Amino acid sequence: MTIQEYTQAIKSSNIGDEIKAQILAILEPATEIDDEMEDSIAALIQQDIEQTLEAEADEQAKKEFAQVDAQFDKDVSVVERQLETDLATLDQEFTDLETAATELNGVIEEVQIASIKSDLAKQS
Amino acid sequence: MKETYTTNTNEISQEPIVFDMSGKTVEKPAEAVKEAPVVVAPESQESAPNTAKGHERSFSFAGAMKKFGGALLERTKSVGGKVAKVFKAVSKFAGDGIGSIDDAITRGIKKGGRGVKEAYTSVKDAITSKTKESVMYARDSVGEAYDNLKEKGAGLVEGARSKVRGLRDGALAIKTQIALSSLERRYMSAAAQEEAARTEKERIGKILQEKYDLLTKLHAARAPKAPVDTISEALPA
Repeated sequence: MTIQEYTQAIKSSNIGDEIKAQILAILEPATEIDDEMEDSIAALIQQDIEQTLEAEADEQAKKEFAQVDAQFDKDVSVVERQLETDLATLDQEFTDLETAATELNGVIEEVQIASIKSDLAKQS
Repeated sequence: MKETYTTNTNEISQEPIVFDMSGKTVEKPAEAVKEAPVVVAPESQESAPNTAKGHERSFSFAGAMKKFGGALLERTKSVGGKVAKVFKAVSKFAGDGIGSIDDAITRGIKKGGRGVKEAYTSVKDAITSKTKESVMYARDSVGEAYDNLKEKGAGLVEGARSKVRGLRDGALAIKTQIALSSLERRYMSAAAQEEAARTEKERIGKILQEKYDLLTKLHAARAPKAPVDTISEALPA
């Protein structure tokens, strides 16, 4: 399915007007759908689905929705924290590598000088 | 009659989420269940106020991705510049077959998967022995470790994104069940209204299915994934 076909599918869908306009604002200037766009559009469609679901919900269901949302937020924050930790570790690894690269640069210069000295000695 | 609706928006698994209008079972994609914190059944949770809906939460996550991605990119560029200097120096020094980073990659140094510790050890060895071979090996190790770290970073971000998608799909499936149970409660109180309940469920089901189909088509319409940059693409010439 092309992005144009998908845009058309959104236009003719039963998605609410406000959310539809937001989705089209993302889709229409784009030439392809990337990760961020996919997440944003999926979130908007799911928001629309949630509105449909909430319109059908009684008081008990609304309470249960709130519980699901609270659990979702909790689970997402676990993922975010884990990502933060993992990226901090990665950052440290990059720093270590940077240190190694700098040290290697020093060795290269030394070996270069030794090589030039050796060449000069042979020539003389 | 058992009615089911499916969503298939989770990138890490092509198995659809299935929710059963007549029962309580929710099947989430196997990978999402394995990797992501499980969204527990509503009964076992504490009640909490809810204001934000999926949209807002997802945008907050996208913000976090941007923040982390930006920091990672900056760090990658900074290291990339330094490593490029090292490789340039090695190439200049050798001039007889050590070659550029591209040549080194072509020679297949990527196949091993040497990490930062090994790169550091090989640099220490080069410092001690000061031989051309040890310098070459250290250079390859540093380059390979850098490539590996870049891939690791991309994998971490993508992994977190997939987990959140799995959680989001799971939460939506549970909420759909809750709404359908709510419909049942509304209409099933009187036996005479059973037919009305069925009709109403079919109506809502049709509306929802169209929206779920848009989620599935969204994934089909997205661009193919770009491969992770190779170090030769990332480093300045």
